Amino acid sequence: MSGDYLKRLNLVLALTLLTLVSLSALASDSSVFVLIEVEASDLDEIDQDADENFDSHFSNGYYSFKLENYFVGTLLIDLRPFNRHISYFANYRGPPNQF
Amino acid sequence: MQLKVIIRILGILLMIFSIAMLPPIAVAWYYGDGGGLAFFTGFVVSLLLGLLLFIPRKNATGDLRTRDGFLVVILFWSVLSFMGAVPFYLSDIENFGFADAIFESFSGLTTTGATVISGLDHLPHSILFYRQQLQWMGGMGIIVLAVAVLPMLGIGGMQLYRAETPGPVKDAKLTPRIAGTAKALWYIYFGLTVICCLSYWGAGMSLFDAIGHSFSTIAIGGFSTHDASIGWFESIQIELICSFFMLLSGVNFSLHFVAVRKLSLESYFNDAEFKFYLSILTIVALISILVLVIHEHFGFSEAVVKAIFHTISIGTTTGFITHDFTLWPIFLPVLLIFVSFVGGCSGSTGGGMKVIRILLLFKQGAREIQRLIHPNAIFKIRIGKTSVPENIVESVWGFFAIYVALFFLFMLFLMADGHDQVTAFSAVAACMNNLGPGLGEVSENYSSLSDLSKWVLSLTMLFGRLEIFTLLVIFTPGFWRS
Repeated sequence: MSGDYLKRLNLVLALTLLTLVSLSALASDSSVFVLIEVEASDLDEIDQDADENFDSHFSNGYYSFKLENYFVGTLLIDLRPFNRHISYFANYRGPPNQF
Repeated sequence: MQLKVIIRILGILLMIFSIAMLPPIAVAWYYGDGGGLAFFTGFVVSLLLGLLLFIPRKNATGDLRTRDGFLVVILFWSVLSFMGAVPFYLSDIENFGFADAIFESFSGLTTTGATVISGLDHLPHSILFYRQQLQWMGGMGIIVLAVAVLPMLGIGGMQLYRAETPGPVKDAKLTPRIAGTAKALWYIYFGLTVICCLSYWGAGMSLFDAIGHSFSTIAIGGFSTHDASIGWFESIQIELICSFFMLLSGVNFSLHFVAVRKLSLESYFNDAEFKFYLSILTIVALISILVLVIHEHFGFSEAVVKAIFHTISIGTTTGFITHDFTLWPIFLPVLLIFVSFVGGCSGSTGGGMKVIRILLLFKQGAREIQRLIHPNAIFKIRIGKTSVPENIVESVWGFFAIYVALFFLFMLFLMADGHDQVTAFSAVAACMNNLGPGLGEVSENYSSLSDLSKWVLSLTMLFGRLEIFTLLVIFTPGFWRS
């Protein structure tokens, strides 16, 4: 996967998340917490060989994936109460410790 | 409003839509064109989004009512168009930004047929197939929208038939009727596609082109696998086949259904809208032949074929071309663009204002003249044997007024964005009428427009496809009040 592909994929994921959050909020049946910080300048500073910056892991019911230097820094999706509600948390400055 | 049910339905639709990414993966694998990754990503993202919307509300139940119907329709077209853009955006198409991907996807699903891609002949087969398939799927959605959903929402030319339809249509519950109607009409749609594909194949197209073009012909889309569109094949036989199926697809699919069930053509010739549709296309085709012959653009027989093809193609809002019609005497391209405002019949995959509305406006105009002569007389407007209620005549006038107002608004917007008036006029007309090709800068494709104009035109396509009111209604405060 090229850096350009990852850059585009990141925008797609961010917008997909935004769609998910907006629609969930519309249905008013989910506890939704969103913080997406967009820094336009980051799009111009993409490291074309940044594949190694991609990191993801699944632990304690959280799926976290990190795309450093990209559009959304770290995105944490809380999947534990999946059958009742979904919480989303996106934080640009690294893994949050609020959970 | 049943918002949980609406989001649940959207989740299901997205999961179904994700399957649409699988055939292009197979095409990419078969041709080895390297386009599979973009579609696989699109498949995963659409499926996940669908699941995340569906699972938390899987037990949500309730009858959808009219207001819910508006939201379902809008979300269906906007969210699916967004997800449909993902493979375009992730593909290796040169100089292709996010606005381009959105434009192409909206154009596909709304069956507009306007494109921002140049060099179609060099694109991977998987992308080409996906574009055609998007239009075909959009056409399936439009049939349900036009025949089953919009009439119940009180929108669209088909509302005329609403009062005539027995059963559950008269109450506000949407679902039971839609399932049955959709199933019957999709059989017709699928059958026409297969016959069209076989005809193209028999006339000399490759199987890939035949499948692709049958998709966009029956959907009245106009996307092609070649930059020169149908003209690439240089075959009169293919042009005539294409003309015939475009003409059929511009007809109300309910009439096809009745004709197949009764094995009779009677339903067509008893239908006032169909007769008016044929009359308009015949008159415009005759004028086109006359102008082309007088200006000696072609020999007589070639002029006949070209004029008939382009009249049907532009008149039904398909948008295929066999010749650069912008090079014809300027009267003809402008005439054809104006004819696209009439568009196809209600309940078809065609765009524009719909023939039935123009027929009603025409009859209303004639009635006003009669009223001047006989001020005390009461004149009823009739379509066939049916007397049209006054509220429908009023709603058609309202639709016409808003259509024209929005057209000028979008046109002015494009001019403010730096485009000349011919480009702005034809681009907005071509997108709002779900036609495709325009004049001026957009005669070949829309790639030269700014990103802002592409976003605006994507919205214009949605306005046209959802028949204006469906989209406008959600901006009224009353819509959201419980």
